[in-house]
Amino acid sequence: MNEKESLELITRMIDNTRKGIEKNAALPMLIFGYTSIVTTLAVWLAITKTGNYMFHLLWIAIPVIGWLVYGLIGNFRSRREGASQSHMGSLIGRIWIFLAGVMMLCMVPAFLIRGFPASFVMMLLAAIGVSCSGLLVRYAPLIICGLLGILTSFVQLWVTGITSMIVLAAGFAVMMVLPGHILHYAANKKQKNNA
Amino acid sequence: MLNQLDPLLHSELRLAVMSVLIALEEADFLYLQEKTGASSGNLSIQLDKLQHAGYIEIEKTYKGRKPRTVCRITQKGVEAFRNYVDVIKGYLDV
Repeated sequence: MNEKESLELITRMIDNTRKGIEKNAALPMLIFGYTSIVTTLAVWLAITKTGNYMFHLLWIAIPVIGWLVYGLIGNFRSRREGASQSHMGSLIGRIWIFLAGVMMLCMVPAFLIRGFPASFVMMLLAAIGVSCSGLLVRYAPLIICGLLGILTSFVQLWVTGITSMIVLAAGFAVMMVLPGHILHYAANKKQKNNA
Repeated sequence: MLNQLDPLLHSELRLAVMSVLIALEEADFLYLQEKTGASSGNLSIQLDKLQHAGYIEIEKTYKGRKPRTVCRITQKGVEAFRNYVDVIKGYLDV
């Protein structure tokens, strides 16, 4: 192996590893995005039909189902392709765990204080998470979708009552599902071009 | 005068492993095998050499009932890798 081949090998291996990281980054966005939309619509439907606000407890389904599905897919993948953890992935993961904790904490005043803008807070926190992730990986669609989410979250201050759930579901679609699909498509395209 | 290339890194498989690990926090044996296309035996030998040089650390754990080998690059490994790249760039005048 001469010097030129060494440098080519280094570039190729680092490039392939980064592409793998990009492809894996789309998975949590899609899983948690779709889980959040389905849960939001389920809470909206249940409360609209029954009028029972205890259905707000269904929010717990987002972390429970999200982590369960993510864990199962991750486990299946790691058995086939092995597992890795990037520095950035680990940092973004810690940010999201922190934000998820704050979101859960925000559910407490939502039960106790009448008129607490829970949808606004939830959407704002999620949008901040998306924007921060985008800024860390320097990926424009994530930053833009996160900013759109932040702007949409303020709409929640005017949309009152149970209707705000619809705005929240739309927000999850814009700030999580949309950039997740863009990221997944871009990573697949890069891999096909390389093949 | 140009510096000597680190003989430990100037091997295709060891360099490939280090290039993967430099971009990651950690990777398991199967992942490295998948990325490098090496056989289990060969990869195992090369990982041992890198570990003995202090370039990587290897942690043997269990995932369920299955044994799992996790590799991480060390600070010494990062410095050796950077030095190797600098020397190569010097050779190629990049």
